[in-house]
Amino acid sequence: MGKYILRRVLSLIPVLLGISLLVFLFLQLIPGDPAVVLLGERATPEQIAAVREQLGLNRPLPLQYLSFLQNLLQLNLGTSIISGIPISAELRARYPATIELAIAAMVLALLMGIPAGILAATQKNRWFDNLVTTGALLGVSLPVYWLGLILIYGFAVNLQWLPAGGRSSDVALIQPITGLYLLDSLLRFNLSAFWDGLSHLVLPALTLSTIPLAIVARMTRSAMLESLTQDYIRTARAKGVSEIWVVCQHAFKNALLPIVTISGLQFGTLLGGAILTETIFAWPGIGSWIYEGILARDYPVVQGGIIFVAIAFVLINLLVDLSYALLDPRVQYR
Amino acid sequence: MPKAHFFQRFFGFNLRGLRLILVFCLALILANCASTPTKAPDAASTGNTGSTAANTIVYGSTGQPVNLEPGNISDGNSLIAQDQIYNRLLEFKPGTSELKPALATEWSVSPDGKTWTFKLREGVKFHDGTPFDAAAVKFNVERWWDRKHPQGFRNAGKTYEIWQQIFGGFKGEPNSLLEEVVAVNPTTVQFRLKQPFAAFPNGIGAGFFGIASPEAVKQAGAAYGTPGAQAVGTGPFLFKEWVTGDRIVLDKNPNYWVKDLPKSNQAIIRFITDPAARLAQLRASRIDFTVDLSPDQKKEVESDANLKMLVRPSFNVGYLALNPSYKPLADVKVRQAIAMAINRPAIVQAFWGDLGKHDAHFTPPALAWSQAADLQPYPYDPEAAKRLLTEAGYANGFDLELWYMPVSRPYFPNPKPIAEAFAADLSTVGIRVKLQTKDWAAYLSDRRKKPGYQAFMLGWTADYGDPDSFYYAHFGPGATDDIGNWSNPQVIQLLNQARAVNDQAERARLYSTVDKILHQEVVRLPIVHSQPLLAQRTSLAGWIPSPLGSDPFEEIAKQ
Repeated sequence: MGKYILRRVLSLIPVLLGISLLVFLFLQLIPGDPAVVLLGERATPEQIAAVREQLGLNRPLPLQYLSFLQNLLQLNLGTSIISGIPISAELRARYPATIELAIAAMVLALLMGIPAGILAATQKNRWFDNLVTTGALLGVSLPVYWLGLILIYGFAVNLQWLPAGGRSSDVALIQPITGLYLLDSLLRFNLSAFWDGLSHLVLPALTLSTIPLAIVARMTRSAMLESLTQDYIRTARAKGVSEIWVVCQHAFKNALLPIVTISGLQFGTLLGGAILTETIFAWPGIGSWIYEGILARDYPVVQGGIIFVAIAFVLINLLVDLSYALLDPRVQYR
Repeated sequence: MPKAHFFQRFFGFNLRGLRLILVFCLALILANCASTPTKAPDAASTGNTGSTAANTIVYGSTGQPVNLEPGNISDGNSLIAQDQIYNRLLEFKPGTSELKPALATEWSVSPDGKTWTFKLREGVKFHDGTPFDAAAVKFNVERWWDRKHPQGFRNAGKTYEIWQQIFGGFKGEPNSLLEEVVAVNPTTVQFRLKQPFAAFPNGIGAGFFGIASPEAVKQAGAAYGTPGAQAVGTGPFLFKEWVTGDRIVLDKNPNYWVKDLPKSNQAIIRFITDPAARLAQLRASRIDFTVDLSPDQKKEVESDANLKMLVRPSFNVGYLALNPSYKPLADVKVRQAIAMAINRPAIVQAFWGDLGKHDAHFTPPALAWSQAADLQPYPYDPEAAKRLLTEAGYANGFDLELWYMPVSRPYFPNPKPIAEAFAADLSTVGIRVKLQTKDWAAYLSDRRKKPGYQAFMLGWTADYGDPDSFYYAHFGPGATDDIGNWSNPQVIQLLNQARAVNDQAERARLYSTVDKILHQEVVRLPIVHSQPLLAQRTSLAGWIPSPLGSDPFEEIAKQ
């Protein structure tokens, strides 16, 4: 097991190198000079030359990449061209917001998606199954931006039940411990801050959860359908085991592997894929930061953001791989 | 009246039409809608989650400020945030570009126009308790101007570009207007210039140049102005907190040097990049006022009884540049024909509605004092345009590559359809337009590469409240490399003269002559002066949007 983990971790190195090269090249290959974008309509040739010099854009590409890589190894992601703030400081300030949102969305997706998938599988081709299948189709096809706005107008503007955006009210400030507001407010026994954080989290989490919810529900349904037709299910039923036990213990446990895989992938996607949700809800996370970075063509911000997301994705995948052994004793690591 | 159904309240209008679709889509709704729509209740009456105290005002900005360090920014979000923390030597009367005393109580210029003397307000203290005096002014100015200033932290990537934009260059550079800044005594500071610059008070009064506490800058070092550092000025609000990506919290400055101001105890600036999200948050009373909505949101603002629409007086110009180095455009008659062939009033009406102003001037209406009052825009007259083209030898028209911007800017919110409208109008007089665009950065830089674009769209928002900011940057020496180095000696002479003269009436005369010549020459054809769309909740009072984009919050309060 230890050896396997080591091998898996070592195999991450070329993956991460590849990511760094892609991220570096993508932004270099886009036409246009960041110095010009930085200076905008006002740029004069002398100013452009000065800014290029300052940003190190005059050096040959391979050298730029090497120094980029060197800095990366020292966890120095550079500073934002626009604001001059170190990328690592901005990442530290923003990732808790993204992680909190991603966890909330994933919890919603799992809490609703797995039972829905199980029920749909046991009710195959009946009305509930059709409902889940149709709902899942809608879930993956509704544009997030549109859904977010509809929820804001419904629950915040018209019904006025929930806040329209942001992460907390202006009055409910709590001293951060982990940076996850809900957890921090509980740790500090501050219930009003907890409710405040929760009320802000509901709509963005709901919006963000639609796609993973749909995918988890569909995956659960198909995995369950497969495992419900296995011989051991028939045997269990023949032995007189209650239907609930058959479904939950025998069938579901065996259907878990693909569900975990897809959930892990979805969670990785949530960490980086929240750009639209974070923007529409003014959620101060990595996604809205990358969005602003792209708009301003702030290369280091986009690079830092994408690298963070990619590394998170790769690590979650690793965890998913490692969890197989826990779920299925037949899986052995050599 | 029957009680409104949930879905009716959720959507805020009668759902009869949508019901079928919803039933079909979700297979969940067995809804039945009552007949009359209800209006969204006011936030105050429902205990809404807006959750701010009555004496707190919340501003929805279009994004996070770049930083809170004066002189080191040029973006509107930083400008507005800094306006609350800092004061400048001179500021502007609300809603105008007219100077008023601020940290300086009086200002005067020497007879040769080269030495500006500012008398400073006495008894003013920075938020950290240190005194505001001439040494503090000198410290701030030298940080911006002197590349070698130890507290300028240029090696940390600070550039203070805006200083160069407005005052020509940095210390020791040939183009630097400033020769020396001298603290004559604690309450007098002098700026000695290399050559006269009549717009100097406007320049130094521009929103970029707030005066920061030297002590605070020294303490924070290169981190000054970033979220973690304390931003310290003399302004109406104290910096309390900057939550990255989310908001800036400012508290009332109890020792503000203007009596009885600010009117609110707290001001919060929330960063909301998306215009749709900004309007939604305003309607949900999470924010009290916001700026730069898109023109198509005007109807929605007007439809909500709790909101009031405002416009920021225009301080920009969107223009169509016609490059005389392209042979057909070398003839002024052809350029004038183009001005007559494009139906500018109709285009402005179609794309901006009442948010756009069309006139004959390159400068916006806020600078009316400097314009030639009797100047009329070229009429839309395709027949006259055709006659001019025939006289110039282009009876059969010619080919024209017209470049439109790939991005939306306040002066051209949707460049492509506007360019298509130009092309359609020009085709009626025989000019065959080929529309072109490229990536924004390349668009900006390639226009200066010889031979440049034949015709292109671009615009400008002025840095400071003086015609000089519009004219010198577009028609001054070296500013016309994107229109084939077009040069009119008389214009350059007049612009230099207007910089040297301090008499306002004389400057007005000089600029109105420039206005007339440029109108005649048509190398940058003004299309529009756009007015950004703003909105506030009706419960807010005291907001007078400034044309210069820097809005002090000191007079703003909830009623």
